[in-house]
Amino acid sequence: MRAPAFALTLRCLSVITVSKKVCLLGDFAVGKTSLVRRFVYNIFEDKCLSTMGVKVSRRVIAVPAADEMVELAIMLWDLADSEEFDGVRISYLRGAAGALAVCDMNRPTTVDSLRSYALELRAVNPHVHLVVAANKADLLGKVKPNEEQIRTVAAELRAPYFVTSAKTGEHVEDAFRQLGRLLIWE
Amino acid sequence: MVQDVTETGCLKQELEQQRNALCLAHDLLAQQNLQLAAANTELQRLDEVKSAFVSIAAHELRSPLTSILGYLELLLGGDAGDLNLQQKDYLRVIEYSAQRLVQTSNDLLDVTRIEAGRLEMVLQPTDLVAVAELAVRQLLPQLKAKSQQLTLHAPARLPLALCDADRARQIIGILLGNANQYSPPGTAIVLSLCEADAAGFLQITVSDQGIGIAPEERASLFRPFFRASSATQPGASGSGAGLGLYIARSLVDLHGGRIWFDSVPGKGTTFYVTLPSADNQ
Repeated sequence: MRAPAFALTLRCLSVITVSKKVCLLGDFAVGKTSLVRRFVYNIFEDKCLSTMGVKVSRRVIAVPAADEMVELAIMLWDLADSEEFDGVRISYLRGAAGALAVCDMNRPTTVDSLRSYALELRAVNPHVHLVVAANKADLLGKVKPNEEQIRTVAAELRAPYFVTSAKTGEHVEDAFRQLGRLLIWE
Repeated sequence: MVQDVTETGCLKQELEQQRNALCLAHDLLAQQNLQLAAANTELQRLDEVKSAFVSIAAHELRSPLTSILGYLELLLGGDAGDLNLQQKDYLRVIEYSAQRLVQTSNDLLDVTRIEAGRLEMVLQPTDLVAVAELAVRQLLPQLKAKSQQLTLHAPARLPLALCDADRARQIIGILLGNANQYSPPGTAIVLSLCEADAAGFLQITVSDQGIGIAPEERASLFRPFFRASSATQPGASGSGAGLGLYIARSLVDLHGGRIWFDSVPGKGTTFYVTLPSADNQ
């Protein structure tokens, strides 16, 4: 018998570690903190807890690059919705390599708000990477009424978008991993 | 009509062989994927067991230490009768050792949380000068024991930092603690606060006149459990587990800041930390 036309080889990739700051952006009660908790702890609490100050969490993911494996430590910054913290918004955004822009699929105004958040972020960090998370998909049926609007806004922002649910975990991992790939590959 | 089908037959046979090879490769890949997934699950499980073990061990160490320290305080306070000088000295040695054990168990817990991604911080506008003063006050007994002089420099109007006050105190405490441990008695330590060169950041600087860090060991300094060979040299009184700088770097990373150092062996070391300022400019 002839040898297989190709052989599988497993290469040992060198591993490098990189830290990146990622901000959560979005209107009040769109589920920013819930998305972080789902991504970092894989849990969901069915109550709206207002964030006080800036809550920082961390999760390491592996991102394969050309000839190496990158251990990407994502520092997730989640800012309070309170006006009390408006005075530190620039400090909050400064140094961010990426951001997850979150809206509530059931509230069209929160989708529109993403434009101003992106504008503010890009004024501070022109080369920042953005991913849109259209959250609370679990509250909808199979018809997602605002998806066209979300697609349009995401295209304007030059950002990929994901329909997510922090409650069920739907596409939460995908959204953050896509952002991780953008941070490493581009 | 006669047609020569030899070539077609050969091609068919080759195609069949290629298809078989592809199937074999597919099966092999699926098998390897399964093995990798199994290995990954096992590693995750082992990592969880390790983290749980360290966490439980650290908690179990801390509980009896609380009682030991409590009763020591009563004894040293004279609640159980007068003590002579020698008895007081012995008890202070026990107290110092117990406090070191508490610190080690706290460090182990922090490392477990950092590695599991379970260390959360809440950043708020914070007066960094007040935080630094608290860190200095906590180190006073150790400074006194080595007759070291610590000076704190801070400008009158330093902007607020956007940081977790407890964790910022911990970072400064680790750097000051190292300066104290790895410097000979009678030397000077300087803690300075200022606005950093990088816009929007404040800088903490800790300089000592200690034993310094050998060039070949600098790359490993922020690794967990790493202890420099100079830690056992004369002039050094360090006896930690080698977790302090790893924790400090992790906390600085979480703040979105930087940590780095300059060192001249035999002359001293200067550590620099930047933390975000809470301005809106």
